[in-house]
Amino acid sequence: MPSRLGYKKILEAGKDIEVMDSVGAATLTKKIVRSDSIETITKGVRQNRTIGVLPKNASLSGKALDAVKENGKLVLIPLSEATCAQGPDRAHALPRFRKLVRNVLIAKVPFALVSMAETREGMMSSLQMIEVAGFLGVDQRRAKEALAKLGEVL
Amino acid sequence: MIFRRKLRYVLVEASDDVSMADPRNADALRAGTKAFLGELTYFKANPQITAQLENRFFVIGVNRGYERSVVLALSFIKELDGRRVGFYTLKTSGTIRSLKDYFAGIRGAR
Repeated sequence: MPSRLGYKKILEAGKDIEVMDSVGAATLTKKIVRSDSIETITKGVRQNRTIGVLPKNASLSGKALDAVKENGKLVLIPLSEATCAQGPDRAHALPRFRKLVRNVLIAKVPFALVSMAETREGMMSSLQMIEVAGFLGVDQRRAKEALAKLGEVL
Repeated sequence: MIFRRKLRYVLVEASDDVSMADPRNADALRAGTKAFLGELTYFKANPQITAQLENRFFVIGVNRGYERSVVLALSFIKELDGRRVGFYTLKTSGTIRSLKDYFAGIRGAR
């Protein structure tokens, strides 16, 4: 399946990497902090095991972006959240994601494209990930780099 | 003067068994693509289901230059005739034969 979709490996949240909604004690496994709170993000990015930040509701403040950049972590952009939104939710989700991508690019924060699909339907091939990223404002070269970024870090 | 249509072919895999020979599925996919692309781009792209290779695999022919729009539209379609289905675009090519060869390769690997 991974090679068919254009990936070397598909990483599973909870198995290959932990996704934490709050910052607790330091863990042994590598983790991603999922939050939109500035306090949680600034605390989370200071921990060595944290790889990056997954913005909740596709929003990250300027301060949070600075904290991520200063600590050399990644901003993870979950593309399936944008594609799986249906009806009026999609009309709201797409501009939010575009704004997030724009802010990340302006702030020059390293970022990775991830799917974070919860179901099989939500998954996408690498070809689709690049196209969706292009639709949100990431050029093709950067999108390809960002797609491989999380695998490189892990 | 009659111009020849220059096409690109997209190999698509569905997350669930979907037969595009069933007109309801084909119509639902057409409607979903049109809803995302808009009528103008849809008619310029003119995507057509060209071949059903297996239960979950089929090929879409699309006017050259619009294949990326169709790939994008397929990423946003998550429902087909009331069923939750996702579509993965595996490869685009200029000839249907090369897609069939590629498909034979991945079928062997499965």
